[in-house]
Amino acid sequence: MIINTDPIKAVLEQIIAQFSLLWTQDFGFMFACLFITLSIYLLSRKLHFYLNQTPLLHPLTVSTLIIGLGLYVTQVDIIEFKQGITLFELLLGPATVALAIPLYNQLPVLRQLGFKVLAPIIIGGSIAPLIAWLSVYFLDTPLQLQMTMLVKSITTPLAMGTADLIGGVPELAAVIVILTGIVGATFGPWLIMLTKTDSEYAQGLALGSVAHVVGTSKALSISETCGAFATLGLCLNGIFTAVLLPLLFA
Amino acid sequence: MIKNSVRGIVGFAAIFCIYLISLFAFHYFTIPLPPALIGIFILLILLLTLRKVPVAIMQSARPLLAHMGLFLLPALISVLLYGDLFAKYYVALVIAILLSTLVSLGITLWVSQRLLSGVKRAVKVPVASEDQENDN
Repeated sequence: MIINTDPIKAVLEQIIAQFSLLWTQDFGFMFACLFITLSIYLLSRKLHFYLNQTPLLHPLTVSTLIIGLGLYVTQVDIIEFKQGITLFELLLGPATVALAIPLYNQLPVLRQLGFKVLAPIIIGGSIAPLIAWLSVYFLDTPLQLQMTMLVKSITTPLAMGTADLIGGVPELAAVIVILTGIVGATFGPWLIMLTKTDSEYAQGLALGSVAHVVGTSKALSISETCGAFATLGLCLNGIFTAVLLPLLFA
Repeated sequence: MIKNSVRGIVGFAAIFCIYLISLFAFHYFTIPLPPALIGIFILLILLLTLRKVPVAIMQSARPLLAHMGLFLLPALISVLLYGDLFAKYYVALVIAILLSTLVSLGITLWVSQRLLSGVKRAVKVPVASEDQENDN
């Protein structure tokens, strides 16, 4: 029996091409970029913890602003710098795969409560992109942007992959997702009071499924149980959205 | 200490292999799912088969999950390349994000309160440990 190995080879070459930037560029420049990015990230994280974790000064917005400003001042090309930190970009994939672990840890809750946790996640997970899409649709924006909006409430790495598949812009998706998280975590406590939600389970579930990881860290500051439910909301909404959208639009 | 590092490296190698397999499956079978999601399913099935999270995988997943923000920075930085798109449509973006997030969060809170307020401590919630402190 002869197996045609050409398609397999082509796929392998495609995968290797993704990683090839790691060894084809100037190592000095690469390490400098990695070191600078890492330091800025760690500093803004420190700042965030120091300021009682206010979602408004989220480490990711702060570091992006600092790096953007730095690149502008030093006149370093963004594309070149981005190639310099390819290593971090490549680690996003494995880090996302690791989300299976918190999901596995929360499966008993899902088994016990079933529909009671699924319903809010599905409702929250479909209303948010629907409203977002309706608003950008009526505000007359390009299709690219409309498609990107659909992934707004799922965790960033999944949002980027999904946006890519349905004709959105992955980078834009990352920003929209982070901003959604910040809005959700900032106004979350206020909405919790307004809707008189006193069940920690409900608070966590809503924060996790609408405001993904930023909401989850907010939920964790309420209580560990709340954080556990947020994790469940985050994982399940991420999976549902990432499975459904490409089926509908790809 | 050394034992933990070795475990971490072995665990990372395992997770990385799963990711490579999912990349391969994504391209070869043209599965319409983000490759990382295929990886999540593979790892989840693996964990369900083993019925526990191996220490090595736990050890490497913790820093990966906690610092996912770092791995997102390249994407966030490259949004500067889309500056003109932002400058042109920022009003629409801000309205869409604010409106959809606030309304859907409100509705989800309300629905889940109705469904879950009756559930009082009946469930044993597995409190996931430090893998939660991530911030992206």
